[in-house]
This record gives sequence, structure tokens and C-alpha cells, in this order.
Amino acid sequence: MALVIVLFTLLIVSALVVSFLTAVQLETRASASYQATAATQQLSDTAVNMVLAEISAATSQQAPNIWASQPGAIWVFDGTGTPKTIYRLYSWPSTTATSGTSLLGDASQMANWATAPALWVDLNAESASGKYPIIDPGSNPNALVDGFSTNSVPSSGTSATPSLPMPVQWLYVLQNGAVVAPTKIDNNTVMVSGGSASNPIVGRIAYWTDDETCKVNVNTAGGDDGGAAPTVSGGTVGTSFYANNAGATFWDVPHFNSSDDLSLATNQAVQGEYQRYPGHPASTALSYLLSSLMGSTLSSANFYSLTPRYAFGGSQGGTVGISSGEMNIPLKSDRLYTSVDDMLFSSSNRAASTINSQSANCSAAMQRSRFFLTAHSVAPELNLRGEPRVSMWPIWDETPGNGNWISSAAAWTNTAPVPSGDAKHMTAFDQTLSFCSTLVSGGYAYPYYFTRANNTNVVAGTDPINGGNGQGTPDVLIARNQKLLGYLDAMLTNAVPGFGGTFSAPGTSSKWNANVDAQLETRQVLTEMFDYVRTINSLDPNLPQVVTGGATYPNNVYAAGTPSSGNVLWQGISVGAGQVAPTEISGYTKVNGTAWGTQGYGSLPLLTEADLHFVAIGQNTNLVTGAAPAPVFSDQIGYRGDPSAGPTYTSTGMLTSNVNLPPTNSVAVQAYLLLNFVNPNHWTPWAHAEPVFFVDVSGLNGLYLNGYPLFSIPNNQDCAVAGGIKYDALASAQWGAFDFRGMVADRVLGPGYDNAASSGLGNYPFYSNIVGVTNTPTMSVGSNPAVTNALFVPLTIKIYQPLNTSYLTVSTGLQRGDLVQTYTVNVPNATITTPSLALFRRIGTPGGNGNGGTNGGPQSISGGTTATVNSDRWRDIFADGAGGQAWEMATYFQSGNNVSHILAGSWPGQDVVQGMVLAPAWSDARMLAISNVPSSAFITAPGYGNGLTNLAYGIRAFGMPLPGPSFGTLTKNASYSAWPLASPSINGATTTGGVTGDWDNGTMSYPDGPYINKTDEGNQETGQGVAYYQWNQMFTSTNGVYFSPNRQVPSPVMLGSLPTGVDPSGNHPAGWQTLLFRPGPAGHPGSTVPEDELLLDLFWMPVTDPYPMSESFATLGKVNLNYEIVPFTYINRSTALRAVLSSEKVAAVPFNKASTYKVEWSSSNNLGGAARLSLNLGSDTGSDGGTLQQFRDMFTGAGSFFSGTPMIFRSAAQICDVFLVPQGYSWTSGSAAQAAWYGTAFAMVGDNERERPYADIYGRVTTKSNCFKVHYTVQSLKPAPGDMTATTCQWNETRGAITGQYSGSTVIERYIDPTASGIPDYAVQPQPLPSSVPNLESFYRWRVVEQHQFVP
Amino acid sequence: MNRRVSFPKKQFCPAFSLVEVVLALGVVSFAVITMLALVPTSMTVYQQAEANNVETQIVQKVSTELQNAPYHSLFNPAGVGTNTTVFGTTGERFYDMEGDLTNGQSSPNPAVYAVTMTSYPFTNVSSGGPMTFADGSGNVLAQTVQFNIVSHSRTNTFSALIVNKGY
Repeated sequence: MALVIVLFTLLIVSALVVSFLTAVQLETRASASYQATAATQQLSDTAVNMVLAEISAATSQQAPNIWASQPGAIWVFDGTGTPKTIYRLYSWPSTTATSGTSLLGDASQMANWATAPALWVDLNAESASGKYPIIDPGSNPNALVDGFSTNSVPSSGTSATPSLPMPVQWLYVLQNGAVVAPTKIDNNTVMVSGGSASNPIVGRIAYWTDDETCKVNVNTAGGDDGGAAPTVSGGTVGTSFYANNAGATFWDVPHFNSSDDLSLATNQAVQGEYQRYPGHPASTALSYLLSSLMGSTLSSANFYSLTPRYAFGGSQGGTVGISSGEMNIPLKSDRLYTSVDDMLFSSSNRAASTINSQSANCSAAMQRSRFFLTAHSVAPELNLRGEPRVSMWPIWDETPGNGNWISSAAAWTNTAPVPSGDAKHMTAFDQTLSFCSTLVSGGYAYPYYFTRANNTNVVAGTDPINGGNGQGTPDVLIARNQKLLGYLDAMLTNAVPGFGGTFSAPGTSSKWNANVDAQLETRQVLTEMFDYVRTINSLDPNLPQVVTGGATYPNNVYAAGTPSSGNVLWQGISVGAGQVAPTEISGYTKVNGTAWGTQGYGSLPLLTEADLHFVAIGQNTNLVTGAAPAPVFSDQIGYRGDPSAGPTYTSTGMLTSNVNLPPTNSVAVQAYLLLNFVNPNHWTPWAHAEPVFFVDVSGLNGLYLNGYPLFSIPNNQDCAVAGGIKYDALASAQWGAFDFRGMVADRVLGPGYDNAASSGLGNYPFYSNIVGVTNTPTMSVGSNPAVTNALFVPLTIKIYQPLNTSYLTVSTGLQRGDLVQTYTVNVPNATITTPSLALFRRIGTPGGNGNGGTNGGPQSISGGTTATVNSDRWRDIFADGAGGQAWEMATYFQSGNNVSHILAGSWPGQDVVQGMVLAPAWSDARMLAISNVPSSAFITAPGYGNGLTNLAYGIRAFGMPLPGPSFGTLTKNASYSAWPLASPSINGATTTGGVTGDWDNGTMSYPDGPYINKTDEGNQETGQGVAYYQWNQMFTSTNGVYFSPNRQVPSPVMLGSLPTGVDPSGNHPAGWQTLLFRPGPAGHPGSTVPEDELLLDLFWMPVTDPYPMSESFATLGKVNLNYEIVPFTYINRSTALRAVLSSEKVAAVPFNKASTYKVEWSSSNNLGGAARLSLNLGSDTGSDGGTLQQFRDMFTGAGSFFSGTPMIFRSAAQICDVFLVPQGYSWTSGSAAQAAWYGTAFAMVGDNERERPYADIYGRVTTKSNCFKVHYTVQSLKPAPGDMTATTCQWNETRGAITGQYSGSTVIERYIDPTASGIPDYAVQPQPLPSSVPNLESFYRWRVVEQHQFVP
Repeated sequence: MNRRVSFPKKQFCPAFSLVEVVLALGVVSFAVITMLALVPTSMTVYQQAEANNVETQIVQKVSTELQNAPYHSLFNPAGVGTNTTVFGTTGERFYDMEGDLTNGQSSPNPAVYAVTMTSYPFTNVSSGGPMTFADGSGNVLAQTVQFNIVSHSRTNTFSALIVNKGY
């Protein structure tokens, strides 16, 4: 009994004690577990923080070093582009490498990785439940999704053969926090340096960092394939998929008369159809990726139910035409996805999304998608110096106290307050764009965009050079603009970081033009850039509208012009609309106190030709000479038109009355000056720009005809010119040229000739006296015969801008403003043919207006024969002479038909035109952007003065060839139908070095010429004509249907048509060479170091529509060119880059289509083939000739096209070095590609169209990422006591204890707080930055935006 | 008369002998004492476990606090290669038994844990030798903070990697 009691007692006590001990044990275990959990989390933090520190170290570079990222690494390059340090963003024995070769060798070390568990760990190890932490390769990785494949997967060395291992090496963590790469003892044992019994191993970490910009962003991408599901083979979809423009949909401004371009015009993207906006992040393909990943086809409707901000409709991917009733797509405002997984739920109501309900395996598919898709991809918008890029979008200037216009330059300070959003002048787009490009410090904003407020360049009364007759301050004098120009100028004076070479090395010759100082030429280019930006969106349709004269038009826009009466409004545009005076940085207008001596383009026309048009206005035959009026010259028989006594004609063209005719065997000759212009920044058809300016001519009174003074016009004779006064479509800048018609249309000669002026512009002043000449085959024209050794007569032609931007009121007329340019044109003495009277074109009555007929119909001509011609009324300029009423000259132009008759070319021996055209060195009219154009710029036209050729000139009308001896060509020997705007002095445009020249394709059927690639401000079909194609299409200023900043400016590549050979001194122009933003022909000056494309790095175009995809100097959704994955080079993932490229096409117009590719609009495909070719992207392995082979060559160092050693792209601008290989072509080498692209198959493709795909791509690609995803596996460890000594510590897989493990991923993002203290104003800093001034890379902050634990 | 008074015979109830009692007490005492002897040890283990939890919490708190604090307010960028005291000049903090920050030894929340913190530039010992992460100006971007937590007459060491997140 006692024993029982004792035992019972003992039992109870024991139970209590055991319970207690058990509790203690449990608590201890719980504590240990808690600590292990905490330890693994701490270890995962250590892994993430290590990556973060590495990235910070790699990216906080000061010039001349630069950095670029790729999945798994960040490269740091020195000033010449040599790899300096490569930071491995994965756990590896060595954190850094010094060469690409070393980096690529890492994969080879992975052989038999699984045999050494103390060293290696597979981050993508499949769990027992069949899940993968990073990428589920499926049963056939090569059929998973386009651009994804594997090859030469390293052997594990064991019987286990993981489908897609991603082995990296363990790094061991000691108690003191040191992270140590172990030393191998055997496969299961490693020695950890620094470890000991007192500082034991506490854990180990393994990680690999993905670059989120190598994935497609589900919040920004929206490219749709229209429901086509690609079949993937070997990681690449079939060519037919892309040939059908699948994956995403292409759009460009139509440029050719092809079926492709017609579709672009009729099926253009509407407002809100961002997925078709060129260069918009939405144009990056996404739909087909989702279809592939889900394994089922997503219809367009279903796909756009997934996109949070893009909707389906409009042109439906370009498949349907747009009518006025289908103008826009309603904006969506669904929440943005926080992760890829979030796509399982509807973005609008959190219900199961289309994906969730469509695929039975959606969960697995979404897990797989994480390797290809992301919700967080951001790229920085800093230049190579780590300083802010300058925005391409101009913003209305908001300097306090300014109001609309600037009263004086002194009112401007260096800084401006934080933009408050001037509703009068700034739209919501402008405000967002302003925010993206502004840093704020101390309550002041430091904008990195150009501002504007004055579309003239006139100066407020203090300009000693130009007379100071204007008002306001030129935009270039806005203090911040000066600072920014100085900022760009200073940077270009130094070597380009990471590449080497200096654009503007003081005291050296320019790489573009050896005869011009490098700094001067660079400043000239900067001035052109400034003006280009300044003229963007000059007619913003989103600003408040006003109604005047029954028409609605935008108010308070930059260059609205003046709607002075009902008839000046034409399709919503008013007189002077779109006109921007060129910026001149000379004289009073200085940049930071320095007159650069440079000039931009604005949108004023440039003088390209001066002609003397001789007309026989009277010719005696067999009738009696009249007596009145009195002769002009005493020794001549005068002849002057008299409304009451002019000649009359029979219905067969014979004179019936005879008054005031010259004597027998003599001809009354009168001449007038024709001036022809070209506006390189031409607007048509995007907006009917209506140039308004003054022409001032001196020297005409020095011209003699047969020894008699020809002109009695005083020097400095003004002539106001204004397009759009009456016949807008004809007088404006049609065809890119403000041609001669724009100057003479709707003009009269004044008293004695005409009854009254009809336009408000005044009379046309540049007409001559009437000189009677003997009716001999030739006559002499030139200098005063009394002056010996005078070989020519110099004419001085000055171009003035109007006084103010309220250009015109009918009541007051135009007032002359400041001088813009001065041209000197020498008229050589010559013997020319004598004109004869074109009587027979003065007959006929079909027009029924008594003026000899207007528009066609068989006309009776002399002798009773007929001809299918319009009656010629050119002589109408001479009232009541051989023609009719003066205004008919304009009327004639209005008809727009049979222009070839204007100059009587069909009747040799009648009119005579002798012209001075641009010399070959100046044949590129863009060279004329200088203040004083020398006489050497003009030479006589072919045939001038040979006494045989009536018509020696180069002018044209409507782009059609006028009769004449020759016309210039841009592509040598091409048989144009729409003759390009090239001087007749050239056959084929080439650079001074003989390289294929740079010229632009005109829009639709407009002729090609020396344009500067004006941005597309929108155009719509009106029911009267096809958008872009027909003259009565409409600019959309009144409704903004197609307005989007990003549609206008996809990227800075739009600057690519700005010339680089302008010589401000006028001595050595180097024409037909522009900024080279594409792979150029051999020898192009843009290819020499530093390559032109590096200028792109100084600019950016924020994306703000439909929601701000750009934040402070960063843009969402950009895709990294460096898609190669290290160290897992056996995994190919070009998916995202393919998604970018899939929406692009290459223009292809062969040489033999010169006569058809620019004809007037036609529903037929005049090219007889595709003008736009989809890209041949190729596969991801081998030398298959696809576009991406060039990328692989870059990454592996194959070939020598890029470097010959393994490299990555250092700047996104290097995309311009990559040939976009079209379908049907293969890339073999750089030289072969050059030969092909600049060969006959692409001969009619201009600079702008060659660069357009690059413009669309550049804004969507990057080489730098702000977002990284760290995949990690960490373990907390407890080494066996026997493995630790007082001085050593080793880890053995079998003896040690793994106390905890954690796997997952963390997305980290670097960003800039624009209001962070201490950020300097870089625009005023010297360059390179002094050591005391850190660049903007130093101000980046970090945040964790997504965390994911892998649950096996 | 001799009359014998007989009493009912009392039934024999054997009692614990002294030996038994002593033995029983001995056994019980031995067992109890033996088991009770484990209690202090267990209590110590328990306390240590609890202390470990609290210390882990303290480390997490402080690590989070450090990570979220302005980096340049914690570390002297110029102190490359040298230990830099964090959290002021004393370099010491006190926490009560719940792991909450306290002022010191006074009640009601007497300090139980004394935490000293030191930092030094983070070292990654790679095959190329020790490496620290620094920006272009040489400023250290990552610091290892070592926590020495003293409580219950013992000292535990923890460490955390604190990086410059730009603020």
C-alpha cells in the first residue's frame, strides 16, 4: 500500500515535472522555431539587402562611368565603354567580374552542380507538389511562349534531372553578419573563412536577381493580336504570325500610295486606342503572350477586359475603317494590377477574371507567367551622366507676372515656381508632363523641359541687330530655356560617358562638317532641336475653344494665328496658324550671355529659287499701232494695258481690235519676280499652316533688258505674304513648299493694271516696266550695259516676320516685324530667248465668264484646231493685256488642274522663265537656316541664258512637274512622278562625302524633300477625302479626336531629320546629312565617334496618357534590350523584346516604283506589293539571320559588328545600331545589311521612314532598370559542434543541422523623390559635375513593391 | 472470583515501519528532489527560450527601425572601415522583460535586456577577398550592425545588414 501511495505520489509528481519539462521543451522548440523563422527572414533580408547594396554601388556612378543592367548583373563601364566592373546579382564566389567573358563562363561551372550540396543550390527546384519557385518549364519549354527556350541545360551530375535548374552557389552567413563565399573541402563540406566557435555559421543564402524590365508589364502593355493564337516552335512563333502584323498592331503616318498605307489612313487609331499609338507602351504586345501562357486563345474583347486602362473598339486593331461616328473609345479607369497574380481577378469588380474563368489551369499558368510578365517594371530617364533628361514636350511658360506674354527678359529668373497649372494655357497633359520632368528644391521648381510663350522671335525694342520692332521676349531668352540649352551645350563639350568621343570639343573641327568648328556645329544642332521642340503641338486642340465667325477654333494656343474674317477660316485654321519664327541665337538673343551665331527652323519658309518670268504681253502682227498710252521710255513705243482699250480677240483667237500694240516686228515684254520657298518643318497635311511673312527685295532696279531698265522698283521694296487669305488650300504650305503660288495668289498689280486689291495683302510689287524689244529670237538681260565688267546683278532678298502674332486684321493689314534672313541672289548677264504672245490660249468660252474659259474643255486655238487644254490666263496678271482680270491668276491656282499650262511650257517660244536655283552644295534647303545666305547658294538653273531654253527653273506646283528642262532627284536617276523638292542642280542627293543622302518621305502622296520630320498633329477623314491622302482632309484642331502627346512624339528619335551640316557662316554647307538614328550607310558622318544616336540620351518623352506611366524621370513598361540571363545563359528569354518589336514594320519601296509610289490617292495598290514589311525576328539560337541574331552576337561577342567581345547594350540609343531585318531578308553582316538597306529595294525610302520604327521602339526600350526581383533560398544552420574550433568553422551537410528554410522573391524598386532635399539644379552646374555635386543617381531611394513566399 | 475480563481481540493492522517510512520518504524525496532539481534547469531553459524570443523580437524591432531610419543619421559615411556607434553616443539601449523599450533600471518596467549596437561596413568575403559596397564617392552603402544583448547573465550576438535606401 505504501508503495502504491509512494508510487502514486511519484507518478503525480513525475507527471507534473514531466509536464513542466515538456512545456519547457515545447517552449524551447517553439522558441527555436521562432528564432529559425526570424533567422531565415533575417537571412532573406540579408540576401535582398545585399542585392540592393550591390545595385546601389553599381548605379551610383559618376561620369565618365556608366551602368547598364541585365537579368542577373549590372555592368559598369568606364569612359570609353570598356567593362570596368560587372556586379553579379546572384550568389557566387565572386561578387564581381571584370569582363563579359568571365561572366559568361559562370554557366560552365554549373556542371554536376547537384553533387555538391554544400556549394550549390537550385533556386528553381521543383517542390514535392510539383511547383517551381521561378519558372515552371512545363513538359516542353520550347513550346511555352514566344521567345522562351532552353538549350544546353547543365547536367546535375546525379540521377535527378531537373527540367530547368537554376543553380547558384551558397554564401554562408556568420554570426557577426559577414557573408562569406565558402571554400570547398569536399562535396558535402565547406570551410567558411572567418568562422569559429565564437562566430559560428548561422545560415546561408542563395539568390538570383531578375530584371523586371525584361518582362512585359501587364499594366502598360496592350498589344492585341486580334484573337490569333500563335503556335510556338522552338521558342519562336511562325513568320506568318508576324507577317500578318499579329502580336500587336502597327501604325504610322501614311507615306506611300500602297494598300498598306491606305489602310493606315482609313483605319487609323482613334482617340483612346492607345494600343495602336506609335511608340506608346500600349503597343507592346501582350494578348498573344497571355494566350500562349494560358494555352487558350483570348479574343480581343476578352483580352481588353483584362487590361485596366485600354479598351477594345475604334479601328479594332486596324481591321475596320473609321467613320465620324466611331471616333473614340471610352477611357477605362480600372485599378492597376499590383502583381501578375492579380490578373486572376477582374480589375473592375474583383470577380474571377477572363483568365480565371477561361482556363482550368489558370493558377499554374499565372505562376508560369511571373517569369514573363510583371506589374512593376520601371526604367530611369536619366542621361548617361546620371543627370535629368530634357523632355521633348514643350510647356507653356508660367513665369509669374508674365500673363500671356513676356514683358522683358529681365523679368525672368533662373527658376520658376512649381507649376500651378495654368488652365488657360496648360492642359492636363501638359501639367502631368511638366510634373514628370521637374525637380523641386526649396520651393522652386527646376523644370527640365523647354517652355514657350512667343511664337515669334522678335525682341522688345532693344535689339540693336534686328531693329527691335517686335514685342515680347523670344522663347530662347526665357531664362530656364537658356539654362537648359547651356546644360546640353556643356554636356556635349565633354566626352560622352561610357562611349568616349566629344561632339563639341572646343577648337576642333566638327565630326559632321570638317570646315566648321565643332562647338559651333553642335550648337547649331542644339538650336535646331530647341526649335523642333518649340514647334511641337503648336495648335493644341485641348485648350479652350472659342467661336468666331461661326467657326470654332482653339484659343490661347501657341501659334493660333488670327481668324480675321469668315473666309480666312478654312477647316478650322486661321491666318498665320502654326507659324513659329525660327530661333536665332545671335545679336541680342544670347544663351547665358553668349551669342552662338546659330539659327533654327521654326516654321517659316526658306527661299529656294528666284525666277524672272518674261511675258510677251503685246505683239504686233499685221494691225495698226495704237498711240496711247505714253511709253515708259522715251525712245520706245510704249505699251501698257488699258482696261478700256485693250485688245480683243475673235473666237478663234485672232485680234479683232487693235489698240496699244507694239510696232511691227516688236514685242512688248514685261517681267516679274517669282520666288519659291520650302518649309522644311512643313505642316501639311497635319495642319494647314498659313505662313505670314514679308519679302523685301533690293537690286531689281539694276536689271536691264536689251539695255533698258527693266524694273523701276526702289530698294527695300516690301511685299507682305500670307497664306490662307483666300485660297487656303492653294496658297498655304502645300506639298511642304510655300511655292511661288503662295506669294502671287490673290494678288493684283495695282493702279494702272487692276481696279482694286482683293486680299488685303496689297498689290504684288515685283513686276517690271514694259519694254519693247525687237522680235528677234533672243534678248539680253542683266546689268547696266553702261557699267563695264559687271557680270551680274545682285539681288538682296530679306525675309521679315510680321510685327506681332495677331498677324492680320483686314482693316490694318500686315505690319513688318523683325528681320529673319537675308539672301543674296546674283542674276548673271545672259542672252535669253524672247517670249512671244500666247494668243491662242486667250480664247474659248466654256468657262462662260468672259475670261477665256476657266476649266477645261476643248478649246479652239489659232487656225481653228482644238486642244484639250485649259485656257491660259497667266497673263491675267497684266490687267487687260493679253489676259483678263488680275485676280484670275489666283483663280487659276484654285482650279488645281493642269498646272503644266501655267508657264506655257507646251508652247515653246512663248513665256520665258530664267531662274536661279540652289547650288549643289545648297541643294538641301535645310542648309539655308542661317541669317545671311550668300550668293554662292544660288546658281543658274540648267539652260539659263543659253539663248535656247525658254524655261530654266526648278519650281513646281502641287508636286507635279512643270514643264522645264530638268528637275532634281533625291534618288539618282529615279523616274519620279511627284518630283521631290530637290534643286535641279542635283541628280541624287548625297552627302559631301558621296554617301547616300538623308531626305524625308513626304506624307501620303506629297513629294519627298528636305524636311525635318514635323510631328503628326492629327488628321481625320471628313467625308470629303481620305485622311492624309486627299487635300480636303482635316486637321483635328477643333476636336482633338486624335490628340495625344505620345502619338505626336513617340520618342526623341523624331529629331532624326535635323541636319548636321549647316554652316552658320554660310561658307561650307554639308547638305543631305541629318542626325543618324538608324544604322547608316558606310561613311555617314553620323556613324563616326561619338555616334549621333548618343544625343538621344539627352532627351525623353514622358508617357502620360491614358494615365501617367511616367513619373519623376522614370517610365513604366520599358523593356530592356539586354535580355540575356546570366548566369543561366542556357535559358533564352527574348519574350519582352519581341513583344516590343512585333508591332513594328519596315518601309520598303524599291527604285522601280518611283513613278507610282507618290501618285494621287487611289484605291488601288500602286506599289503592287507591300510597302511595309513585318520584322524577321528569328529564333533565339544560332545564326538564323533574324533581327535578334544581332543581339546574340552582342551578348556573346560573336562577329565584330558590335564589339567582338561579349557585351551588353550600354544605352538604349544603341537600338539604332541594330538592323531591323524585314521578312524575306536575313542578316548576315553589317556590311551586307548596309548594302541591302541602301540598295534598290529600299531606294525610295527616306530618312524619316527608315527611322520611324526606331522612333517607335526607342521610347519603349531601356538598358537600365529600376525594378529588380530577387529570388532567394535561405537556410538557418547549426553546425555540428565538432565542426567548429576556436579559429575555424566548417559546414558539413550530414553533420550540421538545417534549422530553417525560406524561399521566395522580393521586388525592389529604386525611385527618385523629386522633392528630396539636396538635389542640385543640374542645369546650372559645370560639366562634368564637380566632385562636390553628386549626380541624380545618388538620390535614388528604394522601396519594396512586391513580396512573394514560395509555398511548396 | 477470578473473573477474567476479556477484551475483544484487536485486529492486527500492520503499520509502516520506520524503515518503510524512511525508505518511502527517501524514495519520494529522492525522486522529487531529483525531479525538482530539473526545475531550475528547466526554468533556466524556459527563461532562455523566452529571452531568446524577446531578444529576437528586439533584434527585429531594432533592425526594422534601423532600416527605416535615415541611413545617414545612423552611420557616418566617412567612417569607412571603422566601427561607428549607432543610436547616439552611449550605444546602449534597455528593454524590459516584454521586450519594450524602457529607460533603464527603474520600475515599473525594469530593464531586463541591455542592448549595445555597433556597426561596421558590411563585408562580403568573396573569392576575390573582402568587399564592401560603396557608391561612386566612396560612401559605404551597407553596414553590418551587430547587436550584443545582455540579459540573465549571458550575452547573445545578432547581426543585421542595413543598407542605404536613399533616405
